[in-house]
Amino acid sequence: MKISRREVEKIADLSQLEYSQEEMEEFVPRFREILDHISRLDELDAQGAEPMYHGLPEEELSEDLREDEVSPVLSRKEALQNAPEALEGEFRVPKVIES
Amino acid sequence: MSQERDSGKPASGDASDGILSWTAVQLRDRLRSGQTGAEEVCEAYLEQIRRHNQDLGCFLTVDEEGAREQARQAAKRLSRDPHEAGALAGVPVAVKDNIVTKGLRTTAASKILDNFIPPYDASVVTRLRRAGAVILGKTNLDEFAMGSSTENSAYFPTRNPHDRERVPGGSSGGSAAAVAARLAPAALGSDTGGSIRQPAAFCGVSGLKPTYGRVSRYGLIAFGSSLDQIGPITRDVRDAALLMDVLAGHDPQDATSSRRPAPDFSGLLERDRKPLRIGVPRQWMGDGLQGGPDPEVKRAVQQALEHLESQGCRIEDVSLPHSEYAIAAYYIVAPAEASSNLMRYDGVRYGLRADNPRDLQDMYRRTRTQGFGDEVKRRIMLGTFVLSAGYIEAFYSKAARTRRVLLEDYRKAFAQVDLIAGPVAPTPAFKLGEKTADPWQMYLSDIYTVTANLTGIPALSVPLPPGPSGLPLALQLQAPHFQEPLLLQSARLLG
Repeated sequence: MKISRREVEKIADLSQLEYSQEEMEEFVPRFREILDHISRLDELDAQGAEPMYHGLPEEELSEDLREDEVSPVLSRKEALQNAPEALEGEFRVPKVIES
Repeated sequence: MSQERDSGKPASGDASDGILSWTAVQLRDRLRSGQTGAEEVCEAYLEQIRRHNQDLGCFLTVDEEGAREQARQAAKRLSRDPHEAGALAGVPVAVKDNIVTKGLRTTAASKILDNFIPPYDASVVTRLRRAGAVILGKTNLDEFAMGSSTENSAYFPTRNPHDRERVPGGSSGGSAAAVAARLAPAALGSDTGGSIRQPAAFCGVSGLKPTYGRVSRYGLIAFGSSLDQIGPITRDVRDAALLMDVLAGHDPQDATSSRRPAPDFSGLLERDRKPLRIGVPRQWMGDGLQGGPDPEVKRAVQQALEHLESQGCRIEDVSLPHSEYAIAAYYIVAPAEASSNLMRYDGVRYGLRADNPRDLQDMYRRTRTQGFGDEVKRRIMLGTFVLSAGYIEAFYSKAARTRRVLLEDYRKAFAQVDLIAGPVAPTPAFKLGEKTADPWQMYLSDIYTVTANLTGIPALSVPLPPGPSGLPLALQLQAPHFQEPLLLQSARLLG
């Protein structure tokens, strides 16, 4: 598939990933090959088929949602225990708003 | 450490040889009757792990202290009332490291979760604990379960106990190799496109991918949410049934878990079996899919089918006419879901955070770029692409339609037969490094397994006698939704 390098860079941007110039050089041809393989679906006429987005066909899915009742969840302390940085019971991140 | 080439089994005469040779069902029975003790069993396995794990790379984390404590508790429960002690009281189990364990490091074999200590247990882990199982530790996998050889682990590869130069399969390679080398009597794996069945086949053990929704996914680190299922990797199908009795059932924490009552898997296994009609898709055994299976695989499958026929089963030719499109559909749907699921790794709430970020955006990007391995990045890129404006219709929606087409193929086949049989993977275990340079070659390991995930049906990998190469071989059986008991029953006809 003829995807341009610029397009691949745009996908990396959307993916929140960085590739160096050298890495891009290596990545793009392989990526194009994979796109060629998955483009195989072009040969299949599936217009009449409803898309299936779930893991089971509709008739096998459990329809009912649970009651909207409060149940125990993680405490604030537990939720923060793996945070790279926390401050006063909150996740701490680099400054977002310019002063 | 001196080692026999074929396995991690201890030399005969070893005091623990007996314990390590027992299946989970045999262990349970001996623990209940008091012939052996939970702590003795636990020590035998910890010793076996100490001796062989460095060489095989099955475990990422071994929880010696936790396992001993659980064994002590199980021993207490067993001494009070052996039959009320739980279905797995004192039976050690290994857990794939993409299933979260409270207080026990869980990495998904990724550097981005290198220091992650889960604050809760996955529902399957809660169920194991309630049943009295002893969790030995966390097994190796391809990073975030993305791979078919366990070579994508960010830590170290796992080696096949039958031939150390070969891969154990993946992504549940650590679990399958641990069971094969007797580093655990049973293990949990997860299967998004074949990740339980293919490593089970490569290592000569049993692996069951249950129906989507049969086992809770709560606490399974998400890869492809509409495809992922947790299931057992065991020495035989009786053990698979025993594990399923513990694992299966509705879970309010997982909205996709089924409300259908779980059957008595072990009980149904002992029932008389009516003769089954087994369909063999002509597309799988011919040369239609990438040239067809390797001759050794094909011969083993044919011999297994002949054996089933001699046991009264009727073998029929069936057609799954769109099989050739499954791998393309899978490598669109799975990366699409993964790209969304993996956006959560951004350095804010858990896991790695890049040093000295300039700003928030810089932190996200450098954290993800440093934390993810090449294959994970490739899948995120692929998933982001197939979901992007201008391509979503041609790729993602088309793949979703293809799932429906595959489902209709199965519906027609299952109107004719009870089960479908074929290979698990096109070849036996391949060599380390053999497929790492070309991602698509690696993806083709999954051509016979992905259809079960795309359609949600259950499927089982059953070990077969080795062929001329001496490597393990396997048969795959597939059944209609929620017909796991049929899979397990028919597998018993082979052993």
